[in-house]
Amino acid sequence: MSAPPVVPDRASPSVPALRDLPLRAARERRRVPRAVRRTLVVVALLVLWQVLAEIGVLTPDTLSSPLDTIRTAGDMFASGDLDTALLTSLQRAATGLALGVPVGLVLALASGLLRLGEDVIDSPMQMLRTLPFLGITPLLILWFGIGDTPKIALVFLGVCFPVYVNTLVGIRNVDARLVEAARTFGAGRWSVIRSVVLPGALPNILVGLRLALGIAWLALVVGEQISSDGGIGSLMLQAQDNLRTDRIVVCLVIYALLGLISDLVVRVLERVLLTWRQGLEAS
Amino acid sequence: MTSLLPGTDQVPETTSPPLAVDARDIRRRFGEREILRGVDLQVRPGEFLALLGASGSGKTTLLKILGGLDREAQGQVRVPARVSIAFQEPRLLPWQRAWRNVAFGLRGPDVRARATEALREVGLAHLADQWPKTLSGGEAQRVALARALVRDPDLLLLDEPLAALDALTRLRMQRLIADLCARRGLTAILVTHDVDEAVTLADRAVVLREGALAHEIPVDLARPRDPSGPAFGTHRDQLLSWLGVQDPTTDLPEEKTP
Ligand SMILES: Nc1ncnc2c1ncn2[C@@H]1O[C@H](COP(=O)(O)OP(=O)(O)OP(=O)(O)O)[C@@H](O)[C@H]1O
Ligand SMILES: [Mg+2]
Repeated sequence: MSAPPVVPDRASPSVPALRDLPLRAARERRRVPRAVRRTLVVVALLVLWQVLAEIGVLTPDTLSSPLDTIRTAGDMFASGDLDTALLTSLQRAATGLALGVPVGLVLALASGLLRLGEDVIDSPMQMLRTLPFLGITPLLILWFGIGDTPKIALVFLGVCFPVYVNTLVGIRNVDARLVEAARTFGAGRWSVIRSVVLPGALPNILVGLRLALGIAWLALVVGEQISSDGGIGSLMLQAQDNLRTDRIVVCLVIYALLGLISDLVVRVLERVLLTWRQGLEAS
Repeated sequence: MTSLLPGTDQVPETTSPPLAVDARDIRRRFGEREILRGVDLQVRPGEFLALLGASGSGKTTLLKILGGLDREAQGQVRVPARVSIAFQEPRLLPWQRAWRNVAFGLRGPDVRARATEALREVGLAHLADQWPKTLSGGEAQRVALARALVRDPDLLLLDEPLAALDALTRLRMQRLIADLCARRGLTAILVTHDVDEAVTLADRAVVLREGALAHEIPVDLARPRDPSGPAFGTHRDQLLSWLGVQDPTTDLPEEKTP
């Protein structure tokens, strides 16, 4: 039997200062005023804008007032100008997205899942990605002339890359230990892709989709201002020629709304597809 | 050495007994560090083996090799076709509800029923529809255990499957594992740091140390085993001393850095 180890005397404990952690009750008091505060700022800015217009600081040929803009929007709807342009733009955006998103996805899958795919696809994609795609516009006009095609091509190019890059990041970040586990339980290659890789990459794919939607509108703004053949962009081009700032502002608001709606769509998609992430109970 | 099997003639010396695991001279290095330096391991069909060893001694590494998840290792390994693993971390698919995780890879018409039954056995039938992220650590571990147990494997590899459980649940799960293995005649290898758990469950316990199976002890105690019995205590003390644990009042051995 060896001697028991020497136990040192206990030092007297140092007394730490305590602090409050902000828990629910404390936070809630501030939440409501915050939402109100944000809305108030927006409303105040609009009012300021209107006032500046009323007192003549902002003349209509600089920037139309909010009220004028609303009036103009009503006129444009009534005359059917806006509907037609909106429809044209929507169609172009949808076509570009419908082509660009799947292509970006497929390329990313091929490059993320196959060694050969990575070697063949990734470096050209990374090279092209550094090219500012809007700079290709002159080439697209030379190739496709005017009309729908160059606009759709521009949307396609703008959409393809964010989807590709984000999907690839998602695939690369899939937890290898989950793949290992799936293999253990008898999953073949395809089953691993379907039940582990794709769901694991989904959050990033949706990020790519959100970026893609934003870029789709941007590409359209630029593409449609090339020539006057329909769409919100060419409506703006005409308004510019006629010095109609009110019409320009209406078009800008439409773009903003389209962006907002696309964002909302992706948010809803995220809510539905990624319930597991927040641990929300989908009942 | 020859043995007589009941009802048969003397077995010729050339025939080796059937094995569920036959691993010879397994070596595995990570960079400069050789973690496994010639592990020999034979497990009989239906045998329950406990694998002990200090943290970082290579137990998980060995289990992964046996599970066919490590193709970089050297040596000869023969294992059955259907191997099932309960990993040290639960490794549940976060995007599938608990029961779907249990059912992963199962085929047949009654998959949901089988998964639910397996969850009931680990005491979690009421959480079948929950997302893995909302499970507690111990619950997630039990779901992973259910996933390993539900698929009648020929070899069951358990890597500290009960480490996150409270004392009572742990006892229940030990009983469940013992029952299942006995009922289905499963071959199992259990990695554990809990010496009592090893002696309770195993037919044989081995200790991994310095890259090889350094010690081995058969546990021929009648079941169910009573941890307060003297024979149990002998086994426990033997294993503890191999693991370097002695009288709590003495100085601990220095930690070795290989
Ligand atoms: N992929 C790897 N790359 C580098 N080193 C590794 C790798 N996997 C394991 N190791 C090392 O091998 C050693 C053994 O690891 P292993 O996970 O097998 O330990 P263990 O016995 O299971 O420990 P514990 O009881 O803590 O789980 C550790 O020192 C670890 O750092
Ligand atoms: Mg381990």
